Amino acid sequence: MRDNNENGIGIKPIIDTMFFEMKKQKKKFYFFFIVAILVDLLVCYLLQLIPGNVLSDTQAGFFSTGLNFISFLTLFAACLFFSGIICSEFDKKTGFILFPKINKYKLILGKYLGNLVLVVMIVTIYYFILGLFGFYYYGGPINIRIFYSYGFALLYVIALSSLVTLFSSFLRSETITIIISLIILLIALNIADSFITLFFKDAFEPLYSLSYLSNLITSVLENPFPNPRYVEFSFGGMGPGGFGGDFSFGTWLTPTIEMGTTLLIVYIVAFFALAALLFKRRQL
Amino acid sequence: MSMRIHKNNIKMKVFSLLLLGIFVLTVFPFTVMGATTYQTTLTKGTDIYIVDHYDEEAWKSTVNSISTPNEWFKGNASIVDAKSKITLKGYVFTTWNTYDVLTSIFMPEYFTTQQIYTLIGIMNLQGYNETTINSNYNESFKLWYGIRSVWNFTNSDYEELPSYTDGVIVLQNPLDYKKMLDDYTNLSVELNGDPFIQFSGYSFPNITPDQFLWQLALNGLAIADPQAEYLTELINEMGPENASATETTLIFERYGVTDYTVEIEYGPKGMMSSFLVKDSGDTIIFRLISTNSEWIFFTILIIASVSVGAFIAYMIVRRRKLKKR
Repeated sequence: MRDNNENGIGIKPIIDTMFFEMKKQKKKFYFFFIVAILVDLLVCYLLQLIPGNVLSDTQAGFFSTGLNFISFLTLFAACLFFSGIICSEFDKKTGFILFPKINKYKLILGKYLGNLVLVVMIVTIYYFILGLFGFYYYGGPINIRIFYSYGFALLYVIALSSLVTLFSSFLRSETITIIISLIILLIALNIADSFITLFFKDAFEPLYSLSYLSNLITSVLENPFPNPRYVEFSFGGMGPGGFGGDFSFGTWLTPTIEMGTTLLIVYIVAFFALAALLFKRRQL
Repeated sequence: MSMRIHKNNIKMKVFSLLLLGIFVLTVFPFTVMGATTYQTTLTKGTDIYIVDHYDEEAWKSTVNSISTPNEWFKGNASIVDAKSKITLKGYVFTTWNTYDVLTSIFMPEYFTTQQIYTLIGIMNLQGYNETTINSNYNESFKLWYGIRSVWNFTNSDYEELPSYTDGVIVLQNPLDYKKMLDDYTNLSVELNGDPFIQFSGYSFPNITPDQFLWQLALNGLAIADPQAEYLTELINEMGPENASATETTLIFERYGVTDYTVEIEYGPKGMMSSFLVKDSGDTIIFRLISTNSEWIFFTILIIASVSVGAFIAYMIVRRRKLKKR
């Protein structure tokens, strides 16, 4: 057994690496943990101290409002936690060691799992506090759909982490990975979504976009589920005498649950497979 | 050394003054304000009302032989363990004029929405619009207007969406209820005297203080703090024949098939906390009680906080031990 472990065979090296990584990242974790609690307290408690700030009609509506920040929180957490997983090994030259004491895939897997546990804990505390305040304002039972939403949030976090891991597998440093990931996820995809909707309207659904898929986190709380999923607002003849031309603005609200789930899983598998391939090539 | 002691003394004095200031600021203003000004205790949150007791036979032989509690409470309130849920979503401090009171409190009680629109149209034609009514009856009423979602009584699971959304009012001055009724009484005499309104077949009913209080109580009357004084002032000013107040309970002596009593108790939030119907022999016929989940919330919060505190303490102790080694 000892020989197996020393040769990097078995599950123990992964678990050891996982716990080591969790200890290494604890400062980031404390930071995001506190941010998650503060955002929750701001949305669920401090804003509700204003009497005129009216609560939603339903518990699900309250959860939906509270979850507006979850995609930002998970996005930044994923970028900061997973950006150094692979590239730091090469940046610090540890990825080129010829006779490692541990299988490199197990090292990366352990590091990934360690970070994933921390990010999942951050998402969980966010949902826990939100659920607690939902219970406080609306009483029990807790709406079952918050658990579906939590499931989609976890799936989204894994998809984000797999994409950042992919970037980390071919980019040179942690900082560059963070910047590129943030630019793509925060700006580029949203701009692309806007252009696609502007030119193709309802003919093309932006299913390629992770930020569009993240809409499932809140839309799954709605009862009934949004239908139609593409809505168009028209503003026409607002000028003097009814003139002024027509202007319409359309937007895709959410993917379907089936399509969203399938695509998130496909993206997770594809990004990990690509990351593994690139990591292997990089070692050679 | 003496310099340090002196500095510490100054620090202690500043700290003591700060504590005294906080104490004075928090306690003193409330004791002074309590005697003169009423404060709202409305709080966002949900209260659940449960039919705790219902004796159908006693109801029919005492209150009404053909009706049930459903006449007073929407949904199915005539089953023991039926539940209703009310969520106070928020409130604003605002001022109403006589026209607002007429259209928001009195007219909805006696006319349908369609009739109200028609009647307002007729009143406008006859010169009784918002401006003229408010200039002739120039009282203004300061109040807290709360918005609440109501789930009707049911013995099964609640629907996802509320049954309806309405308002709950708390007048800042309980004496204003009497002014409201006086304004309405004078205005209704004036309006009923108008030939065109008479010809159209509409008539504003004459409302007694007892009827007005009963109407308010059933439609979500809420009270301000200090509650006992608020109810006493309200009753003393209105002067109803068959209603009284004891502490935070409003008591109505009513007559149906025989005499019966309705006791409405108000909770710390200023809203109804229990509703009791008794016959003349003090036998309970119908009882509603209220509950909420706040204690569960605070229990979970305390457990979570203690756990986090214990974890932090453990980490600190562990770190100190490691450092010592």
